[in-house]
Amino acid sequence: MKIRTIKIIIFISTLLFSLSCKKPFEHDAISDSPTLLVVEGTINQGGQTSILLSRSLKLSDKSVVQMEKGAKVQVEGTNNTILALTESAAGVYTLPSTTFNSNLQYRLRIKTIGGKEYLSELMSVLATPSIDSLNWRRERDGVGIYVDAHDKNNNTKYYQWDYTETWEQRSVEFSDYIYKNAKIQDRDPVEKVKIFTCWKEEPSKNILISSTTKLSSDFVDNFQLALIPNRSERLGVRYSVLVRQYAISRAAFEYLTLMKRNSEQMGSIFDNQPSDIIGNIKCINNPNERVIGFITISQIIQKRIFINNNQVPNWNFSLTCNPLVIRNHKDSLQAAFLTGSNLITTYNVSLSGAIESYNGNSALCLDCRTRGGSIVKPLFW
Amino acid sequence: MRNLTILVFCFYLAIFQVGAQVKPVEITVAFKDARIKDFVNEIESKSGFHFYYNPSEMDSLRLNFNAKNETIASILRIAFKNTDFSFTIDKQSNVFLTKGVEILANLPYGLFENEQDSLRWKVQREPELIADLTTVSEQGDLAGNLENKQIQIGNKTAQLKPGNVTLIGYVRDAKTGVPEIGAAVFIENPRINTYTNQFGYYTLVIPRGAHTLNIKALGIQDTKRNLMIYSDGKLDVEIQTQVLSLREVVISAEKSANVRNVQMGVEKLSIKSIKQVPVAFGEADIVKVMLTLPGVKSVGEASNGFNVRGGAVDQNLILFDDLTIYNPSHFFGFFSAFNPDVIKDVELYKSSIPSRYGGRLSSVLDVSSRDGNNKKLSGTAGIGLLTGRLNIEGPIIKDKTSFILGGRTTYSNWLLKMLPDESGYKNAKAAFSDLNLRISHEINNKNNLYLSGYLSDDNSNLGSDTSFAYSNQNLSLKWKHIFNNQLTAVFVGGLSKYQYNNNSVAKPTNAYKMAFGIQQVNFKSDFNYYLSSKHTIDFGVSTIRYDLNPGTFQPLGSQSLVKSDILASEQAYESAIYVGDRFDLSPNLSFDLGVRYSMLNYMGPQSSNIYAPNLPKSETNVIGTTNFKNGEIAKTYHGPELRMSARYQLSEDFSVKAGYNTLRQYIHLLTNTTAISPTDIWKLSDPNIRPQFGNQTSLGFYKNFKDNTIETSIEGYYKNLKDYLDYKSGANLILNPNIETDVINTRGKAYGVEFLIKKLSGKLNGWMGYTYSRTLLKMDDANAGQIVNDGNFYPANHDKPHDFSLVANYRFSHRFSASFNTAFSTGRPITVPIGKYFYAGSLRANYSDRNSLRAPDYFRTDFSINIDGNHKVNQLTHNSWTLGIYNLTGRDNAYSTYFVSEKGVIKGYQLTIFGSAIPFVNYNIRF
Repeated sequence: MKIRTIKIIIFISTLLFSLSCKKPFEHDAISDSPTLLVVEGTINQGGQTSILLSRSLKLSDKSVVQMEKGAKVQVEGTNNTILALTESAAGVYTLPSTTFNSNLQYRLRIKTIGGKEYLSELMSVLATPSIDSLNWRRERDGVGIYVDAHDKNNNTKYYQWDYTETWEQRSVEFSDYIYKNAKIQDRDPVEKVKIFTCWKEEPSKNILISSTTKLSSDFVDNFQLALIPNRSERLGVRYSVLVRQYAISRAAFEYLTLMKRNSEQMGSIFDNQPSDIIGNIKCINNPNERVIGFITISQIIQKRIFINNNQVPNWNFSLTCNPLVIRNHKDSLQAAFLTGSNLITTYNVSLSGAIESYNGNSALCLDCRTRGGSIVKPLFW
Repeated sequence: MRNLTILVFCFYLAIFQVGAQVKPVEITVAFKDARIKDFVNEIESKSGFHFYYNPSEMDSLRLNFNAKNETIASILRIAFKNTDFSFTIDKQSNVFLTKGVEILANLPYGLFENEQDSLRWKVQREPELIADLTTVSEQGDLAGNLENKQIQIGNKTAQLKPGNVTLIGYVRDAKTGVPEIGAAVFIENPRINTYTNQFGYYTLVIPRGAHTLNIKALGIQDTKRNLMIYSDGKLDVEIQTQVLSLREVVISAEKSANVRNVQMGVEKLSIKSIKQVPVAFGEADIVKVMLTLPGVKSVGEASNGFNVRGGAVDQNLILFDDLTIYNPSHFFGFFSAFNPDVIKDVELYKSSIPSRYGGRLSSVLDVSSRDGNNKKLSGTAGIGLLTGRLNIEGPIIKDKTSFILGGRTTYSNWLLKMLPDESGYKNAKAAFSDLNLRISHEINNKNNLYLSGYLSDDNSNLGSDTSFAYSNQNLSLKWKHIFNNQLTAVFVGGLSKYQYNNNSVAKPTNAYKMAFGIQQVNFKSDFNYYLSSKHTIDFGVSTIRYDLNPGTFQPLGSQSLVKSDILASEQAYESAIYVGDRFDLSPNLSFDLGVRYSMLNYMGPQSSNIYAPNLPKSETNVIGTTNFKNGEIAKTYHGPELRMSARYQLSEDFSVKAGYNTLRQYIHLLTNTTAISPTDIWKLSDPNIRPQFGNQTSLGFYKNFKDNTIETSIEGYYKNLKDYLDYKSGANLILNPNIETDVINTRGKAYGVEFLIKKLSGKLNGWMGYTYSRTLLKMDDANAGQIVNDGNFYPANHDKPHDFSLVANYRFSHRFSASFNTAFSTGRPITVPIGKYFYAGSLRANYSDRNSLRAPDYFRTDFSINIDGNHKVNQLTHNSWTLGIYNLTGRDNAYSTYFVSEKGVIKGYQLTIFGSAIPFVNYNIRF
């Protein structure tokens, strides 16, 4: 249904001898914009709810999320029930597992520390069908992760997913020694083992939505959630993905479609211009103030799969390492190992028995933590 | 030289001895094998007449006859009967013998200004030489001879009646028989002029008597005819194209029409000038050349839609041989769908739209195809980087029926086949073609028939994924009938179709085919009544039947789970009646006043929703549905449209014009992309979608310099648009049965001032235009549910305040010329991010108000050279080369800007269509 617009432009430019091109565009006339409240999350029917509050940034700001701390957040039911959320981390407001009455409607109220009050529209509790299958396929460009679902009652129509990927990272060798206090010392054997294996976790980065309204039955068939590019570290050892599926309303679908279009799908000749859309949260104090985000109350269904490296032959993941041999001399060792960008593996002994030199390698290849991983093994692993 | 001396001699005799009487002399002679010398001597001796002749011309003549008591004139008549010798006797008893041509001993009365009072015309002597024909046609004669001949129109009468007569006829090319359009046909004294119409037909009401009829137009040799007019008559004039004009810029066939015409804002381009403007890939492109004219803009290079004076893309009525073209582009908008080889000319009305046109708000682009050569079979062929063209034309019945058949196709598929496998486009195909056929038939001199067919087809397939196919199909039959000298009529019946078919088989379970189609059957009749030299009345009726398939979405293949979705078809009649009067109040002040009454009948079967009043049109506010039966009128919209313009001529080469127009539009293109895309659909006004309404007020000053070779003009306009359709954010336009819930009626205003300088002839020719204009929209209908930019005016997508263009051509020799083209405009409005936020794991952009910032300015320069082979007439083929470079400076003009979040970081990009200099070459042959 969707026009493959980006393909068209690439296609035409290929045909016309690659004439069209894109290049960076900068505009200095971007005025000061107010920072807007961003509300993200799904009120989870029968599970733990997390709502994230943050602030939009100016374009010139560093791209670091600025969480909205100290707000009072509560879910209100049409039967006057009030469920208060607690701030479990900066800007993250949680509610323990709660079962909402599907005959009632609920809304979210937020009072920020700045004194402004925000209220969502009333929402019905949506039921989510289960995930029929979560599968993967080896493709030319990598490994695709696909989801299948259906609603035999033909009620769901609009689906959203997000996922968390976890993968194991391994160093290429053990680092037996450590350069500390201008000396080479033995590394703690526990640490030595720990920094050899890590687990890295990353949340999904795209808005993943699909609708089945154009189909005769409510079937989601092979919806692609993710593509692990060829030779990616994710499948270097073992990979797992936890997918959360939840039904959303038509309004939420439209809102997210536009947000997705505005930020993920631009750049072809037939594209329309970005345009505003208003979510379901309004500022009570100032009705003209835009609030970014669409809140939904829905049941979150989860499913996890694992893929091992040996299931994807010829994956050919490799780290770019830089093995070193450093003469056992104070100055040479300091130059090589003081900054920590290189770590030590073993040493070489001369015929006389003295340590002639030390072998080393990039820290990236010896301490998996430098690649963003955590040494704590996840419970599900 | 000798003839001239004789003529001058006669001239003096005629003037100074007007009163002399010639006594009739009767003599008796007998000749047997007499030579001319003997003959002359005999008569001179017996009569006292004196002969002038060239003995060497007549030495082969032998005379055998007897005459008794005959006058000299009758003796001579007998002597030279059935020979090509002529004689003339003047009042002084001189006899002039000539071969082939005849000498006029008397100048036609009325040649000198002091002789031109009608009383004295009565007593004028009959001219000695007359063409005793009511209809004079010139076929086979050389125009050069005709210029000196006096032609008699009507039955000769001894005395000329006072009063006016009507002279009609065609002006045609002597070689090809193609009618010359817009040629000025005039007499000098009194000054009465007209222009030939689209069939090369003219009507002139002039006093009886002797006149010199002048025919002038650019690209033809100026010619004239000496006429002696006794009564109403017809004179067809054959003209010679100017040999020198092979590469001449012809912007308008009308040399001083710029100043003299009542209409304003009309641009006419001949295919010659279109072909010499350099364009991408060297494909002569009507629409791209139109964009160099002031007031015509487009959002960017990959869009064949164009915007005239702030109007939307769908507000242009694009006619090809009287029928509507719904998608005038090939290849997603890179090329226009008109084959340059079969086109005669293109006319764009952007201000005063004549009352015979209607149905769109902004402009009329009238493209007409050529008549085929009705004298001999000929053709042209051309080959460029992406396309090949061939056209053949010739007579079916010589001088009566001719045809022209033209075709164009791409061979870009071979290019795609050469792509490496990894590109993913190995199996892609991109094809377009178009085909034109026109048959012109002259039944008799009062009836002409034209059959015109047009087919354009696009079919592109992006690898194995999605294919886009669309086509235009037109067929029209036109009958032109001349009732009498004053009333002519044109009847056109036709069928236009536009449809698209998009398929996707990317995923078997979601494979679909999507189609849209619109068909119109139309009939119109246009009458032109030449009431007097002061009034010309146009009137007519037209009706269009629309059948529209708003969209089908169907499964493709057995595995497809796609739900078949077929929207109910729509049908409507759009009818109009109009009358207009072009009249001259005084020689300086002229008016063109017209009124058109148009009506749309939206017909059943149809069901349409009823929405709660004063609430947004949304699915939740539906309070009922009305069903209309087949043939029942579901909704009627109607109203008058005024078309008024006036011209005041301050001097021969300076005039002021003003105009006021109102227009209605009943059909809308649903698009929320910046360019016409292959999934855009047309929608008729229905009970929930009102027609668009527009008006325009304009004022212009026109001044010609240097004998009308340099034309300048300044035109200003102010335009209002009502119920222009804009879309809600995230609107779903395709396959939406309740499209009214996704559209918002928008108000618009546009204003601007356009400067234009054209130099029409000379070695250096071309035009230069500058426009300052604004187009602003406003969406403040609280009931629409969404307000854009807080209900304030915001610039439309094609709002580019400053726009400059220069098209120049320099002819070094008859065979070599160079063209240069440059364009500058303000960057188009864009909506850009003004902030950023994290959502769903990524950094995303938060956008500014709609169209509040601008893309970088646009600048482009193109250059081409045209090289013709030698111009010897008798060679089998004539060939020419066009070489050029598009975007000479290689500037990266931003077509659009966009922002994406890539790996958590927002990046801004500008997309450039032609970001480097593109050389092109085209080879053409004529045979």
